[in-house]
Amino acid sequence: MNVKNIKHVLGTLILICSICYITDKLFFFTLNKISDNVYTGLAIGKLNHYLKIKESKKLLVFGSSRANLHVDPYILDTSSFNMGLNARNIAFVTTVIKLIENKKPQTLLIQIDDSTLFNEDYDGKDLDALLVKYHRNPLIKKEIDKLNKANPFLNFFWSLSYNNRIFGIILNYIKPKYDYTKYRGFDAMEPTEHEKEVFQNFVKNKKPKGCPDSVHLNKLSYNCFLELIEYAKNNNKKLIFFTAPFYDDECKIDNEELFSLTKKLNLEYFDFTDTFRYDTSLDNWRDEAHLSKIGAIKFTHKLKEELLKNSKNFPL
Amino acid sequence: MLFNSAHFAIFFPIIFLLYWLIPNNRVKLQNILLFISSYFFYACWDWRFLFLLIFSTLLDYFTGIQMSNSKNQDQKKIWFLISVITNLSFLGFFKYYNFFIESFISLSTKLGFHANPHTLKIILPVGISFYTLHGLSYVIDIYRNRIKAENNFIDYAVFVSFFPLLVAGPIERATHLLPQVKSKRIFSNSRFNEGILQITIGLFRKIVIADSLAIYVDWVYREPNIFNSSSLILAAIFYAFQIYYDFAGYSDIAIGTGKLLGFDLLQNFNLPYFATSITEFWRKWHMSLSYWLRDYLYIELGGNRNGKLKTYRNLLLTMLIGGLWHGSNWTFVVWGGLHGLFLCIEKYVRPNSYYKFLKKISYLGYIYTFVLVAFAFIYFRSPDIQTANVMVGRILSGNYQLPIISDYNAMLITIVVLMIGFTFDLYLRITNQSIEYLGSKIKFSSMIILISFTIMLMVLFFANSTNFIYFQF
Repeated sequence: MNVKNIKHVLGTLILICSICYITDKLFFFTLNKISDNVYTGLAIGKLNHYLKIKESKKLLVFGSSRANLHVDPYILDTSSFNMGLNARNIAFVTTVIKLIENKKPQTLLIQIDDSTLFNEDYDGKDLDALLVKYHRNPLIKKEIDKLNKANPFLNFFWSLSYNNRIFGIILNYIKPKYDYTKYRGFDAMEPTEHEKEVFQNFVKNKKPKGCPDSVHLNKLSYNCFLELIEYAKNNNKKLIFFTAPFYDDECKIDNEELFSLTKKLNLEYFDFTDTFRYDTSLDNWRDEAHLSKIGAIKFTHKLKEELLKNSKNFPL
Repeated sequence: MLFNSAHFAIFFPIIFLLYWLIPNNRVKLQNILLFISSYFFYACWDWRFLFLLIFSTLLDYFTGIQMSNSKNQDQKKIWFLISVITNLSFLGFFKYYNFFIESFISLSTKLGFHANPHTLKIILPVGISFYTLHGLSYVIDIYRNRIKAENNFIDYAVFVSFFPLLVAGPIERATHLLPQVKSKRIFSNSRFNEGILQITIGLFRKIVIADSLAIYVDWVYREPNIFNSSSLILAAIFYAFQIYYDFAGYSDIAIGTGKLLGFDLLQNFNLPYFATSITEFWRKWHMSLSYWLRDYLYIELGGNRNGKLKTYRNLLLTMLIGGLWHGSNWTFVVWGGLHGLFLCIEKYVRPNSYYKFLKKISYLGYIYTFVLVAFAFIYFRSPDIQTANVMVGRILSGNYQLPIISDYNAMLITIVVLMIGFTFDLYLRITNQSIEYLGSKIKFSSMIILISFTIMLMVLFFANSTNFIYFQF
């Protein structure tokens, strides 16, 4: 390799890096401009909506799709929002809760999945839903870095934050999916004929899976619990945890373990896993982990009834 | 160490710098560096299998010399058989032991016997299918007097274990790669341009196109019996593109990496979905394997020299063995068998005017070829024959409503990136260019823009990385 070759190699690489760097920043700032005006859809809209209303609502619901599809917050309180998102768990929930800055009393209703809490492999990957705000919100950046969930190239390529979200953002920018001012964050849907058929087949062919002898709480999940308790104490928030209904849940060891954990941490916890045990209508379900709209409305009423009866000072 | 990992992004630039900073490009020192780095690269997968690689290399190196030194043909044949049998025994044990045992148990049970031989927990050493073929081609070529045995162990070891092609090819020939290993490599700017462009496009093909397609394909293949016919057809089409962009992407990275180190590796893909027949498809798909099978198996079996019937037999046998080479599962055998059958039929009808007509209207030939290839891939992708049969049965069941899609955003991205990939292939086809030499054919400024544009597409659309499909073989 002679000097000419070295110059060529370095020149080529520097040129490519420079063009990429400039293009990346152009994309990033353009997408910021666009996405800041998007309040619908899951790519960024729901998060933007939440960031806009989080300080003003009396009740906020958090969790995975099993919160999003199961709890109509309006039934619980007219000043409310459901921030449940598909495949988001305790790490995501903890971070979005910590984004609330006020110290006004608010009720935070948190759906937890025992399958995640007792999954030793759970590493907070669900935080990636917040990558879209990585370069724009110091708290989000701190939380993502804490769990080492940022792509190493994110420091150079800022628009990596928008990876796989562009179409969702642009489509919702051009034509919002719904009127977000009327949206409560509750996305329950009636199952399609195909989903009904699949679920019926599932019920017909269901075989016992077997249960583990013991379960161990994931360390990250435990830390999230501690952070939430600390946050709630310092910010006048009321935390209520619950597990959502599950079709024919075989194993109880995780529920029992979760019950003793919440008791130990002095947390309010309601286990609704078996709420539909005696209501065997398949119309309540979309699949074994998700309720249909009919089931979700029934469940929310049941949840309200239970909270009014057994939760201290509900609603705040 | 995957090509699309941060580890490789650190490993390769270090090797590249050390390699070209060797004074006067001294071949000996460069080969020692390649030898050490290739073994390090392999050890990153699983250091225990390094011993197997060393053994296989030593075996072929030693038997190669013994064959060259043999005083008569019989002696030569003995050394040749020792090498071939040992190589195939290792491959058979690590790759096919459990497969044959399980098939034997299953057959015995069906026949009413209760056989109970032991299966073993065997991990498949990565790349064994590829470096075994390297070794085999080397000893066969010596046996057939096409080449002389290599006396320098390091040079031979670099031929077998050269890290860009160690785990998934392209499957090199001693006649092609060994002379390059032995001669002085000169750095050239045009080769550098070709290399970085091909690596970038390879990465795009893999982490954007193939991995995006994998989302829908994996979802459908997980439980095909709950999907309608249209969804299954869509998944079959997507898989045909997924495996192409996955393996062609891998090959691009391997060939591009080789170029940056001064090597010209064998072309592995040449726009296979622009083939107008299955026969042509196999001249464009996984070319290093198909030509290997042609030269070392089909022709060795007699090729088309002994009449029509024997030609068909040889074709079928070659494709069945080629199928089995991919993996220890009957699905691969069926896949190979189907291709063998298609090739035989084409050979049979070739003089027919209908076939000529099809060749003339090339777009009909593209569709015909793609449909057959995508169909056969159903067996290739399915975990077992039953699942593949369920897929085929449900595709034919006539439930042609709209395909079921769970994530419209992911589907939109998949279709857009697939169209980008396909448009690029179409450009190569129309301009009659090869991706291997594109970097030196287009203007420098165009190359820079193309690379930067591709990198930005990767940033915006890369999907969660999965392993390269061919690494499992």
